[in-house]
Amino acid sequence: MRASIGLFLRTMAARAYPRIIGMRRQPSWVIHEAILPILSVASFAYVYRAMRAPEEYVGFVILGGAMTAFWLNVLWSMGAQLYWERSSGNLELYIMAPGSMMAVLAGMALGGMILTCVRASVIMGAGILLFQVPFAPTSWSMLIFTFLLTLLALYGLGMMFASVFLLWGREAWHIVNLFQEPVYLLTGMNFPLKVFPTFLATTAALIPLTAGMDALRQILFKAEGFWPLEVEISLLGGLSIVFLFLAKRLLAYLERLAREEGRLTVKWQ
Amino acid sequence: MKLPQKTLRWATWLGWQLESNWTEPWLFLIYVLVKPLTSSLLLVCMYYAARTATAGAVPVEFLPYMYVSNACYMLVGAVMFGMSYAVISDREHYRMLKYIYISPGHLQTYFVGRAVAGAAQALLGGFLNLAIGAAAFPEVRNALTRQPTEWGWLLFYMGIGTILLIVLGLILAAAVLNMARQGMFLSEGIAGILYLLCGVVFPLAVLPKFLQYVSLALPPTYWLEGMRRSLLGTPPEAMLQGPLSSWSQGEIALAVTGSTLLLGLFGIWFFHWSERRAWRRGRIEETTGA
Amino acid sequence: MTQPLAIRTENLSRVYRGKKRKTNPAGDLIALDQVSLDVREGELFGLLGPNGAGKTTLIKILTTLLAPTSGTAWVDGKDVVTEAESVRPLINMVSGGESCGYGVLNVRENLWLFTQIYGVSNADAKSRIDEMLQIVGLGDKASTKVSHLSTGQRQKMNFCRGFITDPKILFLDEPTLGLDVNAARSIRQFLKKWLAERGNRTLLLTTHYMMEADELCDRLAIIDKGKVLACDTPANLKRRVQEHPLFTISLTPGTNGALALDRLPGVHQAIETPGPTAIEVKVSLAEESAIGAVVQRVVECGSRILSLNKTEPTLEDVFIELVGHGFNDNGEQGT
Repeated sequence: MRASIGLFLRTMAARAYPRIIGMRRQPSWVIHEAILPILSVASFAYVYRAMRAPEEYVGFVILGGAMTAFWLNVLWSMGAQLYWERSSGNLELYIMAPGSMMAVLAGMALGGMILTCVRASVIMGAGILLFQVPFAPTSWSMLIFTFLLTLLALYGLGMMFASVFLLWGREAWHIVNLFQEPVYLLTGMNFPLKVFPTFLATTAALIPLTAGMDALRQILFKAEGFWPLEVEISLLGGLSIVFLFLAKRLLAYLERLAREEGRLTVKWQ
Repeated sequence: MKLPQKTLRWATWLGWQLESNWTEPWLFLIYVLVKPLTSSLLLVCMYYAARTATAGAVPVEFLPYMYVSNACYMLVGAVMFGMSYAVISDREHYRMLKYIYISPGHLQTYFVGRAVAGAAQALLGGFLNLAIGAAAFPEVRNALTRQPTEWGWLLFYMGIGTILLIVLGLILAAAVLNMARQGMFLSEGIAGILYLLCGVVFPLAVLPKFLQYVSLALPPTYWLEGMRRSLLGTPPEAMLQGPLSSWSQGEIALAVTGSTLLLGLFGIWFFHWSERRAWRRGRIEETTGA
Repeated sequence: MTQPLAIRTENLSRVYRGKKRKTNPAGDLIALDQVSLDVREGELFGLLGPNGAGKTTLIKILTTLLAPTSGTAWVDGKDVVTEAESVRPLINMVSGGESCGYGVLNVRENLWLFTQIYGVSNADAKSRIDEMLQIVGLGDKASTKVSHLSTGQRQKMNFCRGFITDPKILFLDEPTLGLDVNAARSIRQFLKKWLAERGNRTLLLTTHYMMEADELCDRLAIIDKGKVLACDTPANLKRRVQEHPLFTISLTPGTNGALALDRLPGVHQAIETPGPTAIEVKVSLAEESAIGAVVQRVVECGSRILSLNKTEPTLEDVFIELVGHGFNDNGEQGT
């Protein structure tokens, strides 16, 4: 048991390492991870300013921009990352090694999360400075707890994506690309969920960002949420457990399927 | 058939194959439509949220302004991103850039051809997007039918817009030739800057004064204004007025043509310079990603 | 006492399902067809065959990357399909021509990463990495980013990666591909030494370089179109093609047919071919020791030996004998 846990942790740390060290060795991330996202956030903030919407709506945009960074990280640095790993020949080495793929994915998540936290922080900071949006959380501990729970559920979903990817070739990139914008819409990235009819919001609640962002808005802006805060936190907890469990099962099942169909080592798609 | 024409033909074919042959046609069609439609619906939801929060104070013309602009802007991202992505993917993923470079094929035309497929996708997506917007939202439908579309101007702006976007795309592709894989984000960044500064989803008057001057120096600002004007006419609402509201179609057309010409001359020089630099530094065949 | 088996396959087959199209008239592709092989512990076993023969497919199955369509395979007594988790700690693989690794990390960091997913302690990892880098001649490149390495250097790094986990069974899929002559030679010497120092380790090597197979392998299997055509030691395989030792002797002219070498005891056949400056004689002997009598007869006839060479059949000769065409006559792509 101790040996298994030790191997899991070693594998996780090893896979997180390239991402973390990459932050230091490829400083261009500062521009594309931190500065450029502020542009789209600013665009949407100005839309609300042009429409003379309440100031908290500008705050929604800034929060949405920050949380979107995590969604993009989950999509591209977890789901689609295995596509790049396969192209470079690393995937087969991971599959063949005794360290589990869950540990590899956890390492990718950890490494990506650190970079994304920086991006999100810059967006929030810039948003507060540029647009003078008042952020006044009702409880800092609740804010941090809700944020971490949202990330746990989100990255569990990302692990599921990564395993589903194993069956796909070039369509993986396109499918991941396809998911990007609809999730912005369904999770109410820039607007309160009450714009949606109940059935749509309830369906969207399966995506952790939906309940996560709505809960964070309630804590940060004292905004009216779609569901009570306690319900949303419970939902996030439940989603975390379900997604992590499904990720493990799906990974094993889909790896077996990929081995049967010979997709683990196909390149140049 | 001359060499650039041949290059354009097979590069377009290649670009289309890479863009489309990964799935069934019906899923491909969904893919073409989903991205532009969802980005438009995002704006629609923002409009309704603001209108509810302000008890109807947001004018109804705001929605068609954003919707039409956004649909036109999709082309900008598709062409610019498409060309830079062609550089990155051919160099890093398919490892074919070096072979294309040493072939008799014309390199600039090759990148244009590769982008044509993405542009065709964006054009189809934009058209469907507008059609769905007009069908689903009375505000958009009324704005499009309130006055006749200025077809002459529309065709002019589509033509000049094509040239403008190709020039912008080539400039970016040239820059990315000398950058690592992260150079892909340069075109995303430029697309983001243009989205903010060209009055795509809000009138320029909302921006701080110093940024408005920057906006007026960007050719896509005039192009978008011209496209909007041709489809929707001049918006009557004060909330939607901006620095170009008093300009005539002729003045806007002159501005976009002149700036496109200048950009084109710069683009030709820059591409040549950048290509030579990449060749001298061995960047054509270098794989740089992590 | 029979050596335990490191690798065993029984009627192993792998079929890639495909739709019949103009571009793929055959439809299904049979990559492996009822392959049954035994590899003993401590052996350096070779798989020799042209591109598309099924060598890589077999390795992928044995390294748990690919499921067989039918049949069974065991590595160290464990089923590669049902006990894959137990197989993985014992194996590693090196593929020739690969460019895996992370460009942003340096050589040492890339190698360290892979030791960690095998559970190697940091102290052991450091010493093994240092040792392997010296062996392959990358000691001065340890801190160089992988993206700055040449193809050959990447392959050397890849090679190190295979050994730093100290696997019980190592699969080498054309490991000298992309390496220069000196590097390839030092790799081959290292393989022999590694195996000799560790009695219970096993190497399975695929190659289409016959000289490499001949030099390294204790036994080898010749594979073509998914089938194993023969499996034996290189010497025995060559003996199948040429039963009798064959010598080529070049003599000064002027013997006037007085040699009569084929009448000598121990000489199976002798064919003389006169030339303008020398006579070439090919003698096939019942056994090698008969060459002495041949040389003595030549001397007695007053002729002078200009050169004497033993002609060995090559593995390509063996392949042609088995298949009916050479390695290069097969135009199929590799898998």
